[in-house]
Amino acid sequence: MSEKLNWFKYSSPASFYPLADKMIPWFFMAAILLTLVGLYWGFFQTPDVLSDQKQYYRIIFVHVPAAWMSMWLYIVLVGWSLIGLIFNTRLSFMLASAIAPSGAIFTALALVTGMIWGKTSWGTWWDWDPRMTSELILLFLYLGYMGLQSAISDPQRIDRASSLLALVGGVCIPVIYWSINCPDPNQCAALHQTSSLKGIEANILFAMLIMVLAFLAYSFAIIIMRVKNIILHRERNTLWVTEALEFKP
Amino acid sequence: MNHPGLTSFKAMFKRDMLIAYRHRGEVLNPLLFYILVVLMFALAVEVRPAVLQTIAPGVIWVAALLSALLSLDSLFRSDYEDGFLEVMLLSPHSLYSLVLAKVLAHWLVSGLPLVVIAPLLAMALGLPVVAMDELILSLLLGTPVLSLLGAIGTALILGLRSGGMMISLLVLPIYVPVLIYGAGSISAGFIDNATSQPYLLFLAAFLVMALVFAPWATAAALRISVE
Amino acid sequence: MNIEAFFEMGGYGEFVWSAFGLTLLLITIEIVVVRNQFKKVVQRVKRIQQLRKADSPGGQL
Repeated sequence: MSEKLNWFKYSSPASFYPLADKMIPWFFMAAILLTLVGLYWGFFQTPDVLSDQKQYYRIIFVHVPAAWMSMWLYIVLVGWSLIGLIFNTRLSFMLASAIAPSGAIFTALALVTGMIWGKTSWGTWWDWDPRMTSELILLFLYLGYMGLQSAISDPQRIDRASSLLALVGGVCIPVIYWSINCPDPNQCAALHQTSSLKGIEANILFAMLIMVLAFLAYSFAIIIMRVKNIILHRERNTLWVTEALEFKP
Repeated sequence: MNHPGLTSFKAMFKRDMLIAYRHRGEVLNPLLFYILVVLMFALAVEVRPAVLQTIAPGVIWVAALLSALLSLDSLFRSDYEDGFLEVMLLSPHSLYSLVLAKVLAHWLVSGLPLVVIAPLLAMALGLPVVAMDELILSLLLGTPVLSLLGAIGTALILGLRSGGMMISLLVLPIYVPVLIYGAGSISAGFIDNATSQPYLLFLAAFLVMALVFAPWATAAALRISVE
Repeated sequence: MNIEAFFEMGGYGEFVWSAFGLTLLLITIEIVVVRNQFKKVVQRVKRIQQLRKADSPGGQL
């Protein structure tokens, strides 16, 4: 019985809010720390195995984390939407809404840094390669989600409609990616300019992964910050919000 | 012995076809739009046959996409405004079959005409005859998918003031695979039938999946929008 | 690696640093926007409370 209670203990906005307040500084500190470590390692601990010709590879220390976060956050968004639809927990929907802007920003960042990367390594700003094109579609999925939310004013409808949209998009993403990656089913040659994790030198890989964790910690921090705002706004007529803000200047 | 889902399906289908017949003037709009878009492209691009030929599959398909987006608004709009949609939702009939019937009627009226007119337009774009059957087949398989997926989008934004931009933003990303394989099949058709076959198989797979899942998602969206 | 090499990045300095700069910029903007949102929400909630207190004489809440 107590286990069941614990599971839903923080699922109400009122009980989550104080927890959120406490978590944010820790996540920010973790993000800053990880960034410092990651960038230091990436810039000063990587042996100059690559000649000066290839110094641009340092861009991956922001490009890859941004891209991975953009994809991971969408999955989490879909997850919270699903939980919200199944268990009817308001907080789940609020978290999903809080994730979207961050996801969109990371996607945009991944696209722009990807373009810069493309310019330096392959000579063109854009070449319609599968991963970047999928990333572009992902941006539109985020924007569609946010657009739908801003178009609906009825609180009941807004949560369920955007959750359904997220789910449909989530289900379609593999199909979309596959179709872009494999536009010619006869040969299915992966065009993305051979970048797999296997060929990367250990120190670079390490720094990159640290940066991924840094971005992850930052995402936690900023998304929880944002969900606090959403909670305050939606629960503005409740007693606990009044009391919580009574001590603020 | 009639399956209850089938009876409601047939009734809904007949009703929608009758309504479409009564408004047959409006029915022409998506078709005219389609023709105009394709012609605009033909006029805008240099009419060197080689150039026009290579972009023809893309043009045909993008125009079909745009036409579908344009026609989607009419799918639920009048039923929403006169309250019939609520009756549908409250009725004991399976919403899945009602939605499927509506989408089928909608496609017959807005999608199928595109398939019929496409060969003429394709000739205007200089499409080689060898790719004609890919043209017809890809549109025949693809346009229902566009209607089915588009229905989800329209159902989500029912009653909102947002207008044409919103539906495009919501639905175009999920149209992408259909576009890629649809246009791709015609391009492959330039070579031979064997090359284009995998494309068409993909489109057929999309159609089957859409038939199974889209009406269900649309029904869910309708419930969300109307409650 | 000396300071010059750090900025030059083998001739790719402008690319590398604009990528990092953009990242920093977007993140800063995001943080600033969310913080502003917070202030606005708090203001709004307080205003609502005041209006409520004014409505019900005796200031019951």
